[in-house]
Amino acid sequence: MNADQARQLAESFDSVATNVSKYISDNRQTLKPGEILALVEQIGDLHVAATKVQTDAVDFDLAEAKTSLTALKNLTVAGKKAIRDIDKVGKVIVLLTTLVTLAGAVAAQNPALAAQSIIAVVGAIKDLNEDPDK
Amino acid sequence: MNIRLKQTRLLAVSLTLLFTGCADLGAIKDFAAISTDATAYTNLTREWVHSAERQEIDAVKQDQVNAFRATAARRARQQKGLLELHAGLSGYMTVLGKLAGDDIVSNGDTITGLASAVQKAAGDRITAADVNAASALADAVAAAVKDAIRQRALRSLIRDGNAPVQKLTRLMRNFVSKDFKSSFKQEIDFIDQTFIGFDAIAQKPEQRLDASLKLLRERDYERKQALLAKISQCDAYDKTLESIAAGHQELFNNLDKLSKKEVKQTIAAYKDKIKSLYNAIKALN
Repeated sequence: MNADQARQLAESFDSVATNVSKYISDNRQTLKPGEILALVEQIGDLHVAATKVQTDAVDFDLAEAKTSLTALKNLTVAGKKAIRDIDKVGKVIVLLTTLVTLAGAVAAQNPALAAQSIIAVVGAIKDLNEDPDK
Repeated sequence: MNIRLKQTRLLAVSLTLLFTGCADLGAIKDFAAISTDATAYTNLTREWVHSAERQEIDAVKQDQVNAFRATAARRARQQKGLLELHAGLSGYMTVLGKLAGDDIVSNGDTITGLASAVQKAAGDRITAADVNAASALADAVAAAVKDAIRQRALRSLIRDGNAPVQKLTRLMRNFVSKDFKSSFKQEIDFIDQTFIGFDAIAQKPEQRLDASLKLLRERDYERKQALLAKISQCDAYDKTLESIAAGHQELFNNLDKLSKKEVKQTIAAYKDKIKSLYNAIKALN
């Protein structure tokens, strides 16, 4: 049995319960209390059965969902990694900018600028090594 | 100012203009953000579990009560799996929204702060205009490179994510529009059918249960109203899932033109539809 078949079965139980109830309504004058009670019990049994197969249908579809759910979870992990990579790219560019500044300072023989640039380079490297998830 | 410096500044300004202008994917970000709302699905899933328990009231035999309890226990075990589907979809949509957000390509104040520090140290050897031009260029290059990478990642995510998103939303729609809804509808039928039976017995000359039946009818009315509201919530949430699936399909169909005006408008329309459906569900609570 698959999910759709289970749903059809649940509908059939519901439909029979509706017919039994209609039978009670249509024959209430002639039916004895004991007979009505027996029919009400049957209605209950049909609802028990319908509830059970509805639950079976969900089990079937949940099993079918597993592969897609795993695929989506894997994609989510990959997407998070892409976000971290993009963050790193920005940090690498900052690092390159500081290195270019340092090179310029060395070429221009400017010790003050070189010292400031070295601090900036160290800061950029630290930033790059930082775990973005922390 | 010497000619070489002027040429350098002109080149910097030109390059900055060339790299400026990341893709505007705000519509995707908003669509993804609204698709993560789990409130309605969580509530309906909880009601699905309780639906089996509630039917114990109308059971007329102990073995029926026991059977409803057993089914309720099975549904309670299903709850985790049912909620995991939404969590999976929601986690995916959160990453999709983050990749579409502008903050991911922004460099913040890092480069500007760095340039200011350099200028401070260099004194009058570098002018503020030079520093601004250099930092703007570095900023634009960084943003452009990050934007190119994020667009590739976003396209890859949507391309590979479409099939599982369509499958999961289809199955979740099955749960909401078929199983949950039919369970609530069945509760109403059971309430009515049991009442019809007891009413028929009560009308017999030897039975005098009119007053009790009147009270039962009033209680049943309240129960049925609550169940009808849940059925309406199922219908509205089914349409919500339909819009989430259709919106994602739209993204998939337009992978190469995600920042095009028409695509953004369509996605924004799905976002608005989902928002109004959530409001409708809240109103039914």
